[in-house]
Amino acid sequence: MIKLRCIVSTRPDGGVSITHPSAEIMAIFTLGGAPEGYFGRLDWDAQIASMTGRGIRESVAVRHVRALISGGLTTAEAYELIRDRDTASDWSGKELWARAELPADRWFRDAWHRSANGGPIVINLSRAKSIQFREIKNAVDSENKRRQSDLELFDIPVACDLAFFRERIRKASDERELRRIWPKELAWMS
Amino acid sequence: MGAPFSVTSISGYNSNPPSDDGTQTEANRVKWSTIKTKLPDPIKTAYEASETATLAAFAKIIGGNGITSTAGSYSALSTDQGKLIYATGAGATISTPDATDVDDPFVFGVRNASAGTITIDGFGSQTIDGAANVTMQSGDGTLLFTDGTNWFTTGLFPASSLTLSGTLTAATVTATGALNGATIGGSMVATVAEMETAGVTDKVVTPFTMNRSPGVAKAFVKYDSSGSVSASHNITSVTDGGAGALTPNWATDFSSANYSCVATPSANNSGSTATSFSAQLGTSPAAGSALVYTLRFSDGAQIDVTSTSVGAFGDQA
Repeated sequence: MIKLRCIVSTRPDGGVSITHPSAEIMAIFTLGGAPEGYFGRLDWDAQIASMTGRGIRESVAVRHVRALISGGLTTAEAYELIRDRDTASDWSGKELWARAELPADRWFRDAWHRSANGGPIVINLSRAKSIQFREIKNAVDSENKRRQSDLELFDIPVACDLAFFRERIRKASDERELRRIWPKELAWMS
Repeated sequence: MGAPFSVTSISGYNSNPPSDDGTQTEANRVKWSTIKTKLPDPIKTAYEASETATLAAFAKIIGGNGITSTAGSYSALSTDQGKLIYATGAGATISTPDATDVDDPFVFGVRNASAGTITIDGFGSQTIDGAANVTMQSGDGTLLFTDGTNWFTTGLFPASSLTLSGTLTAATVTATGALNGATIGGSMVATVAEMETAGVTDKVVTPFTMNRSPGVAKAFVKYDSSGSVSASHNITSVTDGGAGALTPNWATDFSSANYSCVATPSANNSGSTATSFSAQLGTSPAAGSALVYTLRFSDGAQIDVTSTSVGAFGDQA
């Protein structure tokens, strides 16, 4: 079984999109195509027209249809075809990564940032601070809501000074320090 | 009855004429009266007898003896050799003649022209194909032969099972039991158009067209919080666009953006509190993909979940 890789791209806003090919399509593309009737009896011309209608180059649409029917691509060609069809044309820095190369911690996923020219994924600290504050606030609110129906704690809300945490978050110098900021009264959310 | 044709022998023919010793005697004179008795009369007699035997023989072969139509039960006679018994009444019994009486060869036909079944019964304890009797389906026909002891059919449509190695072509096939075969084809198989309109009640569905039914999911996928696909059909990839914002990309496009997409998030992947999540489509799905958000109920934030399952229904291009 092949170890699937993924396509890492940079969006125009600097955010990161990661496209994971399915094992199903890699098998279809690199072997003999889809079995007869696998997709139903489709109108392949209409498929090509539909893809070009949503901005995919005709040459890519034709290659895609041929690969669905007959397969025969190398693994590299299959990734290339998925890159050309499934990633937006205004995304840049498209690179093939091993999944193990992706950041394992997705806590700050929406703060992932990357150069338009590609390269490593870094965390946008400003966005990460907003995420951390949102998560603390949500954790406090959720705990207080839970306590409202707790016999012993319904009148004892979590003692959490959000303004204090906001200041700590503002002063954090990197994502590791930021990640450690969390109310002691609450269970740590991993 | 025996053989339908009887061999004719020439009678009156003098096979041992007197020797011609060359003498001019009265006995050796060529006279019409003497030649006539020695050659033409026996030939005439034999020829006429052969004609009669030939006519009789033709009357005994299949199709040479006409048709006897019967609305009820009927017992075939020795004079029915070569005849077709045309049974029009359902439930009738057609009995064979006595095989020992008619002897081998003897053949006659039976056609079940009734709407139901009829029975062909062997004379006395005589069997038909080894059984006391056989059942004929409506519209069926057979020839019955005898070996002088029992009866045998040919061309009879079997009531229990029919095995064909070729193609069965028929206007209507009615089976009360299983209908087995390696393949099926022709207009019995639902077309793509028939699958899409779903209004046909008497066609079979094959894997080739099954995907086109409106009620069948055209694509499905299960992926984890990062977009890694663990199960799929008709999916090229899943794009992770951020926390709780993933986009399955269909391998084949829908015919428009008007199709149905359902998504179900599973367990919380972001914290220790028991938080509920929902999934919603980011916008109307595009023909080739659908952006699926997983949202936390408590604050509506897009958030990762352990896995999400998505299915899509609708018409494909």
